[in-house]
Amino acid sequence: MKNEWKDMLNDAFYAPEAVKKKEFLRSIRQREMSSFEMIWQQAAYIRIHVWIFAVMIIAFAVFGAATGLGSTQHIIAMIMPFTASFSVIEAQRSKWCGMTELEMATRFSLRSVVLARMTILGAVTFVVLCVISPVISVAFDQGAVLTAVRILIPYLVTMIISLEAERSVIGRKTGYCPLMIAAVVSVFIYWMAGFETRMLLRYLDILESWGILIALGLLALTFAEQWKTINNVEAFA
Amino acid sequence: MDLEEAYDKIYRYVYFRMKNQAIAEDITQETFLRFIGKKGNIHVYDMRYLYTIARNLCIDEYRRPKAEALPEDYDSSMQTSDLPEERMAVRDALAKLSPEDQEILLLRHVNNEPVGTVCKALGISRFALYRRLKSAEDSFRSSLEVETDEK
Repeated sequence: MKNEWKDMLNDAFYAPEAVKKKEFLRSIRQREMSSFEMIWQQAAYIRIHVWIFAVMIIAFAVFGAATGLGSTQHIIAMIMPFTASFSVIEAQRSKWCGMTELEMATRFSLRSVVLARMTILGAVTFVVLCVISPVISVAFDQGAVLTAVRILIPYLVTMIISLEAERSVIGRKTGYCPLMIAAVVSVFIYWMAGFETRMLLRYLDILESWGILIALGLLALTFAEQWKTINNVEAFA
Repeated sequence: MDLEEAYDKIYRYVYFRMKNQAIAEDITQETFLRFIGKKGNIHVYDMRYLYTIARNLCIDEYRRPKAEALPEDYDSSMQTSDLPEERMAVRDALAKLSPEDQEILLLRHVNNEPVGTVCKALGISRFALYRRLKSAEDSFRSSLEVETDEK
């Protein structure tokens, strides 16, 4: 068909300007953001020290592996509880900044924001674990899974206690309760590694036999605690 | 395809069928909402699916009992005596075609939809579409020549 006919047809099939179009398209476009985009957007709000801390752990693991520093694994196991506490504090940051009411009124619910932040922080920890476990296991000639379990267990224990504490009366009043829990777990590892060698060896024996099961159990508990926190986040706000 | 472009195409199509701006807008919006409800997102616009939903909604609207005989802006859109002669001739020629032929011309030449999309929207084969499109174009051409001669 000739082009001028097409133009004439275009004109003949005239439709008046849709008056509600812009408003409707705006409302529809708000729904366009996918879960991945939302998580990516929330990643921008995570404070820089969390990322720096993750990079420092990796750098320390590489340094320890390169120099043959024997206590690398213990030191990392002592640092990991602080990663967990930072994750809990960061996920609950809107509460400490007094922004919960505002976030509840925005296009994303507070629950979805907390869930997105927890997902990001969990992914960061997973990446750190995936990087440092092979490095340490190769450098110190240990099994990668056992190394990962040794690093992961203090992290998960801190995470479970911190999430539980966050929902308690004390946790709601004390802003940095997870940091105190992390310090206690960290000091316990230091005490065990430095002064209670028999207990440490027994702990390592247990980990060798049951380590994966214990880690999986703690992981399930962590997910359960996170689920409770996410479900109750708006009630506690 | 841009969301706005998809909206315009569906709106023009629905307006062609309903000849009423308010109803056309409502049906267009309902079409997109149903599409999103079914697909979950609007990142990929399946025009075939959108046309099918719009068409079914138009049929539902036809079946709904109405008080008024003619829609509010029917006259203003089709009987345009203040338009230039050439445009009037085109509209008159178009009005002489069957609604099915008009629909095919709209989808294929105004909304510039691919053959596959038109076939799916109308529920016909490619061969049937080719035949009906050719027939619609011939009818339109001859009607237009008659109209132009008369004017």
